[in-house]
Amino acid sequence: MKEEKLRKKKPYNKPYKEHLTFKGSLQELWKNKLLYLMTLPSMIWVIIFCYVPLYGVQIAFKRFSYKEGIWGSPWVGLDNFEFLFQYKGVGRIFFNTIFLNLLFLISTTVMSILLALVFVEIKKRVYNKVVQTIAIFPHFVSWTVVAMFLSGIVGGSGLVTKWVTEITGSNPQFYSSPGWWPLILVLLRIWQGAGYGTIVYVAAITGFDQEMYEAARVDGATRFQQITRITLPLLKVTAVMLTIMGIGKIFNGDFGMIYAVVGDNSQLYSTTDVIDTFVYRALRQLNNLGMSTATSLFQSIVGLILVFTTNAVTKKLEPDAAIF
Amino acid sequence: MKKNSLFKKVMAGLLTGTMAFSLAACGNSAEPSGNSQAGTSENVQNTGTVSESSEDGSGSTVSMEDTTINIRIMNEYRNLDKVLEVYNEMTKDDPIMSKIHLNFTWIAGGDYKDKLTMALAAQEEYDLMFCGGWHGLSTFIQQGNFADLSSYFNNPDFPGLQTAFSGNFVNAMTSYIRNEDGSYSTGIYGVNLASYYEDSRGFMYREDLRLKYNCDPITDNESLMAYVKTVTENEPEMIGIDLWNFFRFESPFYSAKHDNVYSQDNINILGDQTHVYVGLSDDGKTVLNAVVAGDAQEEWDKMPEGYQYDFITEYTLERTKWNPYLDPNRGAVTDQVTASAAASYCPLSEYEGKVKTSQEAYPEYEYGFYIIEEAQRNQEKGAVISDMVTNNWLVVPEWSEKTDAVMYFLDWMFGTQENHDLFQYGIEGEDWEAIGTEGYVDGTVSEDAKYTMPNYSLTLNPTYIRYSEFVMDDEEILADYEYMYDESTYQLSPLAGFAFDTTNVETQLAGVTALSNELQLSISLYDEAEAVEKINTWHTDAQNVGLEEVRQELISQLQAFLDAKNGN
Amino acid sequence: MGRIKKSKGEIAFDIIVYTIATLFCIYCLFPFAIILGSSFETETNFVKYGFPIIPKDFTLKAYKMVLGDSQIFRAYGVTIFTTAVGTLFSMFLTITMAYPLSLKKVKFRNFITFFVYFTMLFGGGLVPTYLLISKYLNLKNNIFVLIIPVAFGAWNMFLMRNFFAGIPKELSESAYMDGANDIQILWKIILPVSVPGIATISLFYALTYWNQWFNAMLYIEDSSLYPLQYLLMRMLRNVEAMKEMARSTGMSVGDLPENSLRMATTVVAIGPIILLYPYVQKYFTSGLTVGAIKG
Repeated sequence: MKEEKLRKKKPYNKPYKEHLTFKGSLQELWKNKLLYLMTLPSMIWVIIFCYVPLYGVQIAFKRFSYKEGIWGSPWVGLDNFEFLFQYKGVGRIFFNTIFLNLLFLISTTVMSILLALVFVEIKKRVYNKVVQTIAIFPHFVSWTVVAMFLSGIVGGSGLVTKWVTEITGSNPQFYSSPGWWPLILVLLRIWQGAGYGTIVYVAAITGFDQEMYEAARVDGATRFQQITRITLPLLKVTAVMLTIMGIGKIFNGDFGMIYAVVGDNSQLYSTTDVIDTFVYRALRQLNNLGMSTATSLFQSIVGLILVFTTNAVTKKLEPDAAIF
Repeated sequence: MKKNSLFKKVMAGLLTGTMAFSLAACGNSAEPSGNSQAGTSENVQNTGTVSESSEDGSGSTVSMEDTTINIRIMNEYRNLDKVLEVYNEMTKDDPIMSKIHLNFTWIAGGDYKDKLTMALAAQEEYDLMFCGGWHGLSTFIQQGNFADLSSYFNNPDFPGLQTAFSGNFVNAMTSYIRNEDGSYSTGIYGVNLASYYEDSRGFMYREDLRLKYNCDPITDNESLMAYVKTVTENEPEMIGIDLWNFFRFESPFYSAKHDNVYSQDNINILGDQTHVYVGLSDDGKTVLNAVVAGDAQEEWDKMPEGYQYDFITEYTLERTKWNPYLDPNRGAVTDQVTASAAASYCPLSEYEGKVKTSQEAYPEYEYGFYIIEEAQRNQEKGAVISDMVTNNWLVVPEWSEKTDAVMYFLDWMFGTQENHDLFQYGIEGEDWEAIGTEGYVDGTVSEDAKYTMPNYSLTLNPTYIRYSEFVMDDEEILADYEYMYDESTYQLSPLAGFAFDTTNVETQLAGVTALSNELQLSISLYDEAEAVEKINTWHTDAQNVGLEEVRQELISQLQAFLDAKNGN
Repeated sequence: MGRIKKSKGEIAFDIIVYTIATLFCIYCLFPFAIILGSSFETETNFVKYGFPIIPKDFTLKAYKMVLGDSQIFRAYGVTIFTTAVGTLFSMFLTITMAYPLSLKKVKFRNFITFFVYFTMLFGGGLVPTYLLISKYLNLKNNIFVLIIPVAFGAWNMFLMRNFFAGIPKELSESAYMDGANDIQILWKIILPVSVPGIATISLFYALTYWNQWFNAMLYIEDSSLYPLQYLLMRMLRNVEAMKEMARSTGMSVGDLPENSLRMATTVVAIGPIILLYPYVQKYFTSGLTVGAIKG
């Protein structure tokens, strides 16, 4: 396989100017004026709806009073961050958040890619459509509904519980055994998201130049080899970019899923309690906006640092996949 | 590449700069908030639309402009229009009431907290809103978001309010707000919606099974346990006792009647159901101590006579006697009516609903109700010490300019049984029928046309009580209900009106609350030895995040409150 | 001999492919059997028997409640409108941002990219957003509050950018040499070959608009403007609230479907998507090949 022919190598080093002068910037803007103009509507949107409300971040450092509003509320420095770090289980929730998110990220990415490869290979049109349509069904089911039939599957008299009891003889108490739950949550996430995630990859794969595959077939490559030598490398760009974006959110627990499914069942907290669920419970009665904002801010900052790092690493290894 | 890294550096610099700047700006100003609290209690909202400056008792000097008040209810009402028509009809000749028009909207309970907080943040134009205790009511009051309504009560110009809100009840509604300098101002910042003051705790049990197995009538805890034991022995499929979602440390069998020792909602600041008990001196003017489960003996020594030991933990241990009869799967909580329990924990107010739900599925089941508290069973007067307010309030936002109109409307609605029943039940003869003066039953109109209104969100009041048909039919239950709704059953707690100001101990409170939540959800899973160990662990951990500071803060605030209340 | 070998390998490969696909489909479908079955079950049977795959007592009560609500057709209308208009508007914003960012010659692209990406991580929170939308922009009870504040999705934009970046430069280069400007190139050359990408991102936007309810909850109180998802959610919350109240005040609930209602609303919400999806699907699996244009 002629890999040089297949990998469209893009130049790594772009020519750069010594320093960016003001005049240089203006020239650049003028040179590509249509393109910059094009971005204007979105830029305006982003400024209005994302940057303007950013002044709310200061709530994290204030004791928020509804009467005095955001600007009038008094400053309290870093006080709002204390409750999170003083919590004796802080290490546990940090670990769970990152660990679970990593599991989710890896498993859904792998499954989505695997399934996309599989779907593309199904040549019978009708079956292909049926399969792909079914695969996205789970994405639309709300977590509350999922929680309901989950108890019908792994609850006291659930189907899986009964199977396992028959096979192994001992009754697994899923709802009181925290050890099972990372697995259960991963399976739930795959169920909900893997099928939907294939859409991007399928679109990408079917967009690849068919000539490459032709050439490979002529050279005697099996379908398996075509996948590993052509498809996967080409998918890297998309997969890596999505992964980096996922890493940016790695400190944000999946509150929707975990709270709906685990709820207030404290026996499972050792493996399922994440930052977001803890904060929700701790602040439920206190109604303290400053503390919850402080937590979000902290999560965002960590995410940003991680993204910077990962992006920089990616730039060296796979420059096209880097976000910026 | 250099260009890119330059931009990155600029970005990073900006970020760091912003963060550093905001860190620096916060500095050391630990300014306590809410400096405007004192103000609101002084300025009574008496603005705008009503010109009643010269009140010389002739009444005709009061006039009102055409006003529409915006009312926000929690949860759905239906077919309100026809009731509003009747309201317009009934008030068309009254000079004041005919000018007051009502504009209702409703928000689903699940969304209510978000929408309420947003409405406050944006100071939206609502004149009367529901606010539950769990929506952050006390914080809102402290920050001065609600108007002070005290001038409207005990005021002969508002006779309806005088009838419906009098004596102990209106005293209970009075909040004491702590000012910056530690002094207290009082005010009534909301109208409480209550019918009974406290729910009678009890167990609903299967009467048909009791008769089947010839158990003794259930008159005390022993006979209850005997019944549960017999039933579980004979019916292996059934659970003995279902505690529903009763998560508190104590056993449901604890007696609430203590001398000089109090525990009530406004003191239980450590989490929904992690109870704090406050001991007062005999004259009720000095705080002796505030205790929680797991405290050291020296804390208990300060408590009043008879309570100088860890009775909270003892309550918890008492409940472990019942563990063998609990649902073995009680880790995961569901709220389905467990048709398969011999006895279920059930507050009296929920008894009817639960019985009906169960009998729809299993019509052959019959039920009885056992009241836990002995004094209540014996229908003693003054058996229940209560703060005599519920968690449901109607509030007027401080920036509303139609407070007078709102209060006139409430005065009208709470003025007579007829007015009240119109909004609570609907049109008599259509939506409901009266059973004598005390009862009501659903009317004959179709469900689509029937008027419904969540009464806990607008109309509940202890003066205007009607019992449902279900209750009227059962003599014993009716007696229990009458006792529960009778004001003489209750004594007003000396700590009523207190609201804990969390400003100084917020971080510690958040820490302890998080721990409490974890423990209370699982306490029913442990047997005696484990439970003691868990409580002690919780206590140690709570100490590490500031339990002591919270305790001291609570005690000092309580003492200041009592001093202010008793006129020191 | 080579052909036979290939066939065996190919057959094995096919078996693996079809097996994986089928297994996954069963994995996805299996809870739906419960959802569908439960939506037809009577409420009292839930108390007795739990969630069925085949209902013991078939009833249409839940569906009657959902579809009988006079507002449901209006809600469908609102949702269809916001989905159609919203997707168009979103695609406009997305493409105009994604295309320039995909071109290496745009020197400021990393800056703009970071400018946009930053907003994916940091936000001001609900209070300032609420103030902005309801007070300053005055979008309360306005159907466009379901479109404008949610129109631009950074995640979708980055995906779109990737699609654009994957288009070979040769296509546009020849047009440049012929004197075309950037807008013409985008419109006449890039977009036609980007159909898979555009279809994919449009689908993502459309599905987001379809499922939207949060903004409706916050900003819309006029019931004629409720989108479908919010209406269904309200129905559910109401029934829950009514049951709560019934439990605490002893009101009669009748056979008020709560669990079956929840399932029925899921079915009603998913239904249209599932019916439409197979038709839309061809656009992003057609693989409109670049090679065809080149050749």
